[in-house]
Amino acid sequence: MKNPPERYRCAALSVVKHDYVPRGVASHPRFELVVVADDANQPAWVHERNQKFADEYKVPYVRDVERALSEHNVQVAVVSSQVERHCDLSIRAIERGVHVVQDKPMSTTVAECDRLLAAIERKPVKFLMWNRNFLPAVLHARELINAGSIGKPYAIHVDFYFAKDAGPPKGSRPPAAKPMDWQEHQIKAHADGSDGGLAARPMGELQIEGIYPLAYIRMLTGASVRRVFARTARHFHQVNVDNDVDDLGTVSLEMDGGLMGTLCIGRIGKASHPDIGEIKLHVLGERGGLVISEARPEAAIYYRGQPPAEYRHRRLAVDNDYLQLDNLLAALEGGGETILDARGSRDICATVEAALTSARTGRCETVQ
Amino acid sequence: MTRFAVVGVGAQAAALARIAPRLRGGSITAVVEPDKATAKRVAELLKVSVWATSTGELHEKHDREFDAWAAAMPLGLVLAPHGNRPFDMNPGNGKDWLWAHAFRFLPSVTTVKESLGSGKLGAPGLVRIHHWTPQAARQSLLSQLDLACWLIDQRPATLFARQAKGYVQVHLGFADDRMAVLDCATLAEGDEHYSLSVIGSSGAAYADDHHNMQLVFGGGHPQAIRTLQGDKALLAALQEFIDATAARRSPSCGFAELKRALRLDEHVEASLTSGEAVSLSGGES
Repeated sequence: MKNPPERYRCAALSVVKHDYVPRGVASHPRFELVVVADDANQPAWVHERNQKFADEYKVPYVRDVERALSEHNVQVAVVSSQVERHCDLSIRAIERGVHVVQDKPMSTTVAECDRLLAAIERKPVKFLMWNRNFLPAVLHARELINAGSIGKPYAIHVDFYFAKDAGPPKGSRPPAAKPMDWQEHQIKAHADGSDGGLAARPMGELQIEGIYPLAYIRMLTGASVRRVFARTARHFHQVNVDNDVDDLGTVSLEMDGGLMGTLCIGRIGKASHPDIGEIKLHVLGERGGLVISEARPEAAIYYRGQPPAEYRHRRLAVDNDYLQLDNLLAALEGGGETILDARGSRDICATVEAALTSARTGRCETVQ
Repeated sequence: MTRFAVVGVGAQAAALARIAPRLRGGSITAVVEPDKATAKRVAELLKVSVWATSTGELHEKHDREFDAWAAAMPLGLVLAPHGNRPFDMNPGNGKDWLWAHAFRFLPSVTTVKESLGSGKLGAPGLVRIHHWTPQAARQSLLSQLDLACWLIDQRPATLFARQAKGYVQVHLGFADDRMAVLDCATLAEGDEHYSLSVIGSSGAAYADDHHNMQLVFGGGHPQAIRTLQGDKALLAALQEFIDATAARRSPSCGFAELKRALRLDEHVEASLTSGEAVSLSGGES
């Protein structure tokens, strides 16, 4: 890119879910948040969250996405809306030649992902799906694999258990209680950041969080998933039972080049791990194996009177946000794609969709 | 007192010598090894005077000097009463066998099972096992299939398996949407890696060798070396057989469990051959 700007002008298009995405973007010295925007017809709670974020960053909040993109000369849109609006907001930015950083998941439907891909084909911009691929331990795994430490990988497994609650436990409410409303629950869950499934339509853990471990697999192997066999369960939380979406899932993966693997994922409840959860990578290669704890490096802090909700183990030296934005910069200014681009994100959505189908049919399913 | 004749246990002789004095209500009284020199050596190590180079010879010459067999077989240690020879693999005789594969009696695994049994973890939803070993991957798989069924306390209803050279992964589906995922791999010579996670509806247990590693610095990158669980598994297995015999009850992991694992292994083969998931009708394995 000739004459890149000193700082890219960014618009946060809806900040109702994971504000860590626009915060991460804004924290990089080459990106500047200049406006928050959303559609005027959004409910009051959406505007309230957007306004609060805009006030914190001392930027305007504009209730008109297209006007904000145009009047503020936006170059990068950061999308963190309700899930069903992810692709729509991103596409509207893409159609104006605006690059996009989007919160996960890309969408809950492959059709929406394909619509976004088509938009990028018509208007080539850079797309970065927010991810965890630059965590220290994941980078370390990549370094070891690329150095040939275990030879050519032939199997990769990710066990991805989030030790978070999601409302009352399964079976803890009276039988006559009204089923829990998904969106209502997610809106309340914003208070502790466990609102990754913020959407009008319920979504299970494979859809909410599956992109993270599947993105690890994609980055570490370079392989696409071709076929899956999956099982899912509503095992922990009443809201998942009431809305018939999984909070526990297991997926066997068949990938390019004969590579095999598995994904085990769940929102397993706060009591089930002393910290945020157990996240491990196991990689087997022709000359050995790797066992990687995603949480390392970490330090442990304990003290009398420590609140139960406070994590005892704290992750250290996490530069994931900065490195993701560096990666985006490299794509913007040097060409090439981001670490998790639209095509990769779409393939991950298709993998999840196939897994959910497999869980229903009890058969292996091909990834579309 | 249960008197054991140990058969083909050469590799475990030292461990047996250590635990023999700790057996309550049991002892080792005879040794069978196909090689005479080995038989004498093992007998000396175990401080027993009776040895033979075949089970037939032991029957012929020392039939009244033992009450039970402890035989090392490809699928693990099998303990059986005198009249029920485990080497014959005759289903009719298998009632009082104990299939003493190490993982059933490993302290880490029994700790997890006890937590499940006490209700602390709630209903088991997922059993996840990784076992990487210098031994054959399919040999380990039998034990892991047994563990999965034991921990979930059900027979699976569906199964999907994939393999590569020296590697197998198995995905099990049980009733009530419970599940297990196992991967067994053959590593190059060296130590093994074992990781067991059980995710329950109100708690979870992690018995992961990653946590049991010690670091040895000797220049360059440190070595990671496991602190092992000693002879506890072997001691617990023999003691369970002794206690079951005395109480006239079936041992905790017997022929039924072995048969179940063997039949599941057949279904694994069927899935590997077809490349598809296999339905185990009626939950029968």
